[in-house]
Amino acid sequence: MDRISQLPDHLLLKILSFLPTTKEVVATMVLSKRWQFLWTLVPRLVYDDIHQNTTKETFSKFVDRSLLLHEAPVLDYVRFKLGEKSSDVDDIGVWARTVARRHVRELFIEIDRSSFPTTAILPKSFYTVSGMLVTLKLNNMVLADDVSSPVSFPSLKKLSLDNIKYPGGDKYVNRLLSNCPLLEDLHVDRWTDDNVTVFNVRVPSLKILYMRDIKDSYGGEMLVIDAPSLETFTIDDSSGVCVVKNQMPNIVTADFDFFDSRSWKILSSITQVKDLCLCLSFPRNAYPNGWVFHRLVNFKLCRCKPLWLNLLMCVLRDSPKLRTLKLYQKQGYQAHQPNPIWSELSLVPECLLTSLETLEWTNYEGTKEEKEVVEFILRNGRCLKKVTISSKPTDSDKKLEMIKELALSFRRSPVCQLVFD
Amino acid sequence: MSESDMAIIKPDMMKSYIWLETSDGSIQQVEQEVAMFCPMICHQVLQKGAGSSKNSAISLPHKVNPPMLSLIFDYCRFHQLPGRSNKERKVYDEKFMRMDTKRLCELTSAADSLQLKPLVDLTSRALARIIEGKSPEEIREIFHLPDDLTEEEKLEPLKNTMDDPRIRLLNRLYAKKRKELKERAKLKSIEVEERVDERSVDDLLSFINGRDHKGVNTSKSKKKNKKRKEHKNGTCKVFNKDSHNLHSKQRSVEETSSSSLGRVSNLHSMEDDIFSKKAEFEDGYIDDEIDPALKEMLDREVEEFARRLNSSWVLSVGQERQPVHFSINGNGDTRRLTGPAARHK
Repeated sequence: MDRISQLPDHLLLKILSFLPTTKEVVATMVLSKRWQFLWTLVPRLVYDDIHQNTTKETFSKFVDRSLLLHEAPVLDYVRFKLGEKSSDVDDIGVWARTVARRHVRELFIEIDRSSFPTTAILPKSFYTVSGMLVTLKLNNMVLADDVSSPVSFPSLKKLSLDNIKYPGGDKYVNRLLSNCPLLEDLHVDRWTDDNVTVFNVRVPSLKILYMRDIKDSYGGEMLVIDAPSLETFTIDDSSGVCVVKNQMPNIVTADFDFFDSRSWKILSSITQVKDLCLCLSFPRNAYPNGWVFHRLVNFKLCRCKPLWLNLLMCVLRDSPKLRTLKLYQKQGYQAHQPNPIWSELSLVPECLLTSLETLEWTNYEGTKEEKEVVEFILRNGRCLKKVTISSKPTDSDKKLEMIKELALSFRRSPVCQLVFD
Repeated sequence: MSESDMAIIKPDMMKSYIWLETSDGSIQQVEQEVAMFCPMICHQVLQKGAGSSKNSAISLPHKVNPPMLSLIFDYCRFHQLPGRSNKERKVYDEKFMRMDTKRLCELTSAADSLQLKPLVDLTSRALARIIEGKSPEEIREIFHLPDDLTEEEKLEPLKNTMDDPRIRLLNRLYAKKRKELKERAKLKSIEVEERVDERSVDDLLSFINGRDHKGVNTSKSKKKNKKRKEHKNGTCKVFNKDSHNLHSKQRSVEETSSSSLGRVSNLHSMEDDIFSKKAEFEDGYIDDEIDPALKEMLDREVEEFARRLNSSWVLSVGQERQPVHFSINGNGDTRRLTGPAARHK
C-alpha cells in the first residue's frame, strides 16, 4: 500500500528538502504521477558539480533547465558548489540573479578556487532584486559595480565574502555595507589583491565580525571598523593597520592576530570584553594607564611576538576579575629571541590575589624567563586551582628536570593542582 | 504501593494527566508533561481548558491512531526531560527511527497533525535517507508506488543520465529549427524579417490568449517598428521565428497565462543573459509524432519560450502598440493591465 504518496504535499516537500542535491530531487519526477511535479515546488536547490560523473555541458544544462521549470514561489535555500566542471563561470551570474528574483532567502555560491581564477561576476542587477535575501555567502567572485546602479539588501543579516574582488574599490565596499541595514554577521576573507585599500566596515547593526587578511604585500592597507554594537570581534592574520572608531560597549569576545605593531590601540575600544585572545606586537612603553578590563574573565596570549611578557603584565594588572590565563604559541613559531626580560613587578596584580583560578601553558620550554613567570604566578596566586604545563616532546630527562623545578616551587594556594602533559 | 495509595500519602507528588481521545473512540490518559510537549495538545489545554477529565477529553486528529500515539508519547517522554545531553538525544533519535517505512509514513503524518515539528523533521529525514541513492525502481518497490507514468517509465531516469531523452528530443528539434532559421536569415533582408516579426507578436498574443490564429490579420501591424537594440540582437530574432512557427502548428493553449504573467519579468531577465550567451538556444518545430505526455511537457516549454519572447517584445514595443496586456513600470515590474480579452482590432 502506497502510504507515502498519501502524505500531504507539504510533508512530501519536506522529505524532498532533505535530499542532498537537486539532482536527486529532480530524479523523483519519474516515480509516479504523484511525484511527477513535486520537485518543482521544493524550496531548496543545491547544485553541486564536484562529485558527479557529468560533463561541463550537462551540468550547465541541468541547472538551466531545472531553474526554468522550477516553480516554488519562494526559495528558502539555494547553494551552488562549482568546481572544474562548470563550463562557464558567467553562468553563475545569470543563475544568481534568477534565484534572487525568485525571492531566495539564503544563497551560497562557492566556487572552487583551484579551478578558476576569480572571474565569475555577480551582476549589478543582483543588487536590486535581492529583497528577501537573509544570508549571502560568496566564494571567489567579482562583485560588479557601477556608480549609477543602486545596491540594496534590505533583509540581509549574514554576509560572507571569501576571496572576492571589488572592482569598485573602497567606495564600493562602503556602499555595499551601508546598504545592509540589518546586517548582523559579517565574515570577510581577503586573499588576493582585491582592489581595496581601506576596508571600511561601518555597520551600526553589526554583532559579529570576522576579518581575515592574508596578503603577501603590505601595501598600507587599512581596516577601519565602526561597529558600536559588536559582540564578537575576530581579526585573523591581518597585515594592515586596524583602526576602530567608537567604543564597543557590548563586546563579549575578541580575538586579534596582528602583524602591524600600530594596531594594538584598538584594545582601548574593547575594554568591556569578557573573553580575549591576543597575538600582537606591542611597543615597549606604549601601554597607557587607564585601561581597565572590568569584565575580562578569560585571557589567552600568544608568545610569538616580542614583548609578550610586557603585554601580559599590563593586562594582568588591568583585569581585576581574570579567572583563566592561557599562554600558547602559534604553530611553527620558535621561542622568541631575544627572550623577554623579566623584571619582577613591585605590585602583584590584583587578579592573582583574588580571582585567577587556572593557568595553562603550552609549549613550555623551561627557559629561565618562563620558569620565573610560572613561579611568580604560583607564588602569588592565592586562588589558583589548576596549573597545566604542557611541553614539546623533548627528551625525558630534561622534562623531568623542568617538572621537578616547578613542582618544588612555592605555591600560595593550598588547593592548587599542578598538572604536566 | 498502588498509585492511589501514593496519592493519599503524598498529594503534592501526584502527577496530573491529560485525557485524550483517538480517532477510534478509545480514551486514554497521559502524563501532563509528556502530552504538553505536543503543541497541538498544549494549545487545546491552555486555550480551551480541555483534557482535564474523561468527559472533556481532547479529540485527536484522525491521523493519530493508538499505536502512533504511543510511539509519539515515547518520543515526548524522552525528550521533554531537560536534563538530557544532546548526545543522548541524538542516540535515542537514531534508535527511534528504526522502523519500517509504512510506520515511518504514518508517524510523519501523525506527528504533523500534532504539530510536533522536531519529530516530523526526524521522520522526514529518515524517509529522505531511504530515498537517497536509490534507483526509481527500488524506490517504487520500497514504498509500493504505482508505476503509472507509462511513457516516462520507459525513458532513462534523470538520475542515471543528465540527458533526459525528452530534453534530448527537444534539443534535436531545436537544432533542426535553428538550421532552418540560419538559412532563412541568409536569404531575407532585415526589413522583411522585421515585418515577419510583427506578425508573430500578434500571433503570440493570441496564442497566449488561447485563440486560434488561422489567418491572423496582419494589416494593422504593418507599421514599422523603430529600430531597437533588441531587434539587432540576432538571438532575439531567432525567437521571433520560433514563435511564428509555433503558431503555424495550430496549437491551442489550455492554460491561460494569468499565472504566468507574474513570471514574465522573471523570465525576461533570464532571457537577457541566457540568450546572449548560449549557443544552445535552438528553436524548433514540435514534432507531431510525440506521445501525449511528452507533448504536454514540450507544450509547457514552448509556452515558456513564448512568454519570454512576448515580454521582450512588450518592453521594446511598449506603449505604442495595442493590445498591451502588460505594462512595465519604471522599476521593471510587469503588471497585468486588463484581462486577455482587452484587445483592439
